[in-house]
Amino acid sequence: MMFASRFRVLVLLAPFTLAGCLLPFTAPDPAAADLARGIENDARQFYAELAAAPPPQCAYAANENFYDRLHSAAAALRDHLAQRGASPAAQRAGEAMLRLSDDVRASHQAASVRLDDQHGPCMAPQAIALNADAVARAAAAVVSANSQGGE
Amino acid sequence: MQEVITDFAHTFAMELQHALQGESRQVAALARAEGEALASALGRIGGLLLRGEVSDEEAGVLLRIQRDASEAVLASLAEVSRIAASRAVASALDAGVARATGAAGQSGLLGLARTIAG
Repeated sequence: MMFASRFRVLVLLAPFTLAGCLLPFTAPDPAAADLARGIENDARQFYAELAAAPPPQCAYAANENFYDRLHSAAAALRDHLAQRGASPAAQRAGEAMLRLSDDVRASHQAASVRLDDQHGPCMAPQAIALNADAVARAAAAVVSANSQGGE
Repeated sequence: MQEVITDFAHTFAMELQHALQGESRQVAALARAEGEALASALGRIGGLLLRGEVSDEEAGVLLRIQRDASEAVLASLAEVSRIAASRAVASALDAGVARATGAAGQSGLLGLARTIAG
């Protein structure tokens, strides 16, 4: 009687145990979500400080370290997702984050090359806000993709 | 200005939904939200152009960044491939821009930004 009851419990638990074995391939990835939030927070703080920085501190040359850091963080996120076997959706979002990190660098570089406008080597405040929003949207997409699990 | 933004956002969202036809309500809602976000960003970029705060080249990079962000949002959905997302955003942008300005492509985007800002 006791054995039959225990056997029934084991049979009932088996599918969940199997699902548990498969979980690493489909479950949410808090580490990836944390990496994406880190990127978002770093970018938010950077752009807030950039908006208040006078020349030459606002120029691209003075802020190249941030873009190197952003690129490294985005590359680390993409690599983490690939190594962990994250869902294609999560990996696509990670790749987009990396592409975006290079695009915002190009934007600041282009602004600093043009010295004949009212902002000199600095970016226009609205352009800073636009880029900050874009990074936040992409980071939120990565967080979302890793909170929902796999395909 | 608001009329152009609303018109663009509506056309963009409808075309996006059409390009991603058969997708879930989640995708449809996201398409609408992205259309509004992109239209708003285009308006801000148009303002920067009009005030001479960015060059055409800089505006082009800013547009690419916004487009990348929209693609990232759509591509992050499990049911939309990156290629599908990219194509959907491209066709939706063309349709929205053509409706608002009669032009298409990157020059059409800049034209739309100027139209929205003006």
